[in-house]
Amino acid sequence: MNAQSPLTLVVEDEPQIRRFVCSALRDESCRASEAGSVAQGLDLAARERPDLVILDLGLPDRDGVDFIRELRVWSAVPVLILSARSDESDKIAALDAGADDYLTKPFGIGELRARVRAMLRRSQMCGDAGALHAFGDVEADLARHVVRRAGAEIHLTPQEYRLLVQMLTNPGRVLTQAFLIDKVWGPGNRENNHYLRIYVARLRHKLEADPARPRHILTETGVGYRFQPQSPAH
Amino acid sequence: MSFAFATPFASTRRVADYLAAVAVCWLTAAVALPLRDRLDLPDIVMLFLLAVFVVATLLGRGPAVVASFLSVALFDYYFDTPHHLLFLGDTEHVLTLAIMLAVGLVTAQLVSRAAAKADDAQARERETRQLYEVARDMAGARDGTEVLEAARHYLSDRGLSGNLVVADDDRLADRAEGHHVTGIASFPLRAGTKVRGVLAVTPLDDRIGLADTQHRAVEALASLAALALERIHYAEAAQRAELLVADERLRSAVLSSLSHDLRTPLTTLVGLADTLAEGRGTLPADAAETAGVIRDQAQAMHKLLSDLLYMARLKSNSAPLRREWQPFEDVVGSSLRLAENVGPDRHVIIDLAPDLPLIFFDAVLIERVLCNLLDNAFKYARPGARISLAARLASAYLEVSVCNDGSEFPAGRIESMFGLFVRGTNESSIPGGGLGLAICKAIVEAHGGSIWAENCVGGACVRFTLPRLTPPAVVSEDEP
Repeated sequence: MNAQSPLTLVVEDEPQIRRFVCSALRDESCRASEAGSVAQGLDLAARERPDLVILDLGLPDRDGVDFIRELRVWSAVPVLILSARSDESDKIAALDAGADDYLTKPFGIGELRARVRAMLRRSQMCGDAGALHAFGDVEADLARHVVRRAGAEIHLTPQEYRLLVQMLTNPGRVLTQAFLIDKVWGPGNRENNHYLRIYVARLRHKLEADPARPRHILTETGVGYRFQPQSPAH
Repeated sequence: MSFAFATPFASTRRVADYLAAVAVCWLTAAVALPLRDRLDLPDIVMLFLLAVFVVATLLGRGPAVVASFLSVALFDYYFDTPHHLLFLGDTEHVLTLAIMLAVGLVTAQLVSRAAAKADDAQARERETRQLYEVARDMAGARDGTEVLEAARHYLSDRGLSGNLVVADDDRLADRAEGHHVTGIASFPLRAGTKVRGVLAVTPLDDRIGLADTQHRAVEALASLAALALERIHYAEAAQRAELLVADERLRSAVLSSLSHDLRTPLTTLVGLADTLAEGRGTLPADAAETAGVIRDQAQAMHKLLSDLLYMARLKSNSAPLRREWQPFEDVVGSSLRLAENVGPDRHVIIDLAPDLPLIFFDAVLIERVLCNLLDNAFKYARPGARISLAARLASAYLEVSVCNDGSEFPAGRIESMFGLFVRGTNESSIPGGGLGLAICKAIVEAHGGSIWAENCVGGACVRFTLPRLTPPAVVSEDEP
């Protein structure tokens, strides 16, 4: 465990949960620092500049969503939410405030490690991913507005294309419905979220091998969508 | 205004008034007689006029007229010369007598008119005061009985009895208006556009009808009662709503704190057991396996907990459905991801009809239904059985079915399978709380659909429907 290994900040008030989360992080060769409250977490985040934040939403002193808002003022560090609540609106609020991904309690260690790995890998591929994207048998050249599937060019309408661009440029992140609608159709169209559903379905039919069993354009039910460039490794 | 009831008591009083008028005139004559020689005639005229005035003021017009004539007669007989002669040979004082009579009659008329006006004003004042009092009583009334109490009090003051029928029914008003049983007058209690009931009024003395003036008064009373009933109605509605909100808030708070408090230890349990089970090589194989079992059991307990919480929420209406228009395919994909992640040997055959319309449903809940049905299909199927998920349109519904070609449902149990804590096979080793299908039923029914099970060729099938409804318009590309 050297200074080069990524640093993760775990903000969670339940010590036993912190314990196994940190143990899983060490298995991923991460250093971990722990905080039990929003105040302590913000303090540690400012001093230690972590590479990843794992945040419980139900903290004793303040709402976890407040933590994300304050953190996002000065940091773009990826945030993974742990939510004990089954209510999707909490997750949506946290994601809209700037969190990147979530895990619903209880979760398995394998699931946690996979998320941490994916988030750290994305943040290390820092910044510009370039204009060329590939997933499955699809290649997209955003500079030339060309999308090919198995070598053949696929026609996308302007809105389908805009939606695909949002997905390609936010790989692995959970994108809330509100976020996608704002980006593709502009704010003020949030009541028309059936458009988003229809366009996602159209993209799947054009780009997925089996649209009923999507591998890349995934639905996070009740929350939004996630674009997964690689099929989940099993 | 006086009441129209002429009672025997009133007529006796009138006779007494006339007798009193006569007595006053005689008294005046008796008082003036000893002074006849010392007073001038005009003075005596004045005395008699005073008597007429007093009678008019105190006893009204009739007695005053009688007093006028009697005064003239008495004056003429006792005081005018020649004495003790009535209207004979006294041409000298004809004018005096005539003027005396005229003044007496005019006085009687004026005074009685003033008295009538005063009476009228007094009656009006009393009327207003009574209305004010009944309005005040009704404003303070807490229920229909107190409104009736106030109305009855008011009516009994005016010789009437009343009854109140409280009902939110417009037909009642129509019936009441066209319905005048002899002796009973009905007044609809109309407040705003709504009729709140009917006021039925009967005179206490049933020989007499309802006078016009009373009719107006009772109408005023009816509108006061209607307002009071309306106020009570809204106050009660507001109170009920407030109670309901407080109740739901409490229930929802209890559920969410239960959910949080139980999930935290379960998360710890799953996480720690999983850490041990996954810690390759650090534990002997059987210990690692034990840890894995603990993890799986804790997961199963969590599933049971969430099923119970879903059930409680659905039953209490504290969490309304979050229905949205969406393709059914969307929720199929996410359910399959959850169901198939459990094991590599799990594969589902999908058969979705092409071009399914948008369906209006709560994706989280329907995903729960599909997961539960797929879980059941895998649990009860023999190894290697084919599981299929199909959706097609059937007139007003989307019909979804999850089938396996393994074991059939036990005959005779199909109807009861959707009850709470009923399981397919008694005492079986297959894990599950028996909540799964009950949840599915609750969710599907909350969406206005239905769910049933059946055995089809060589396997078991659960089918459910979701109403099709009319999807929102989708504007083509350039103008979303």
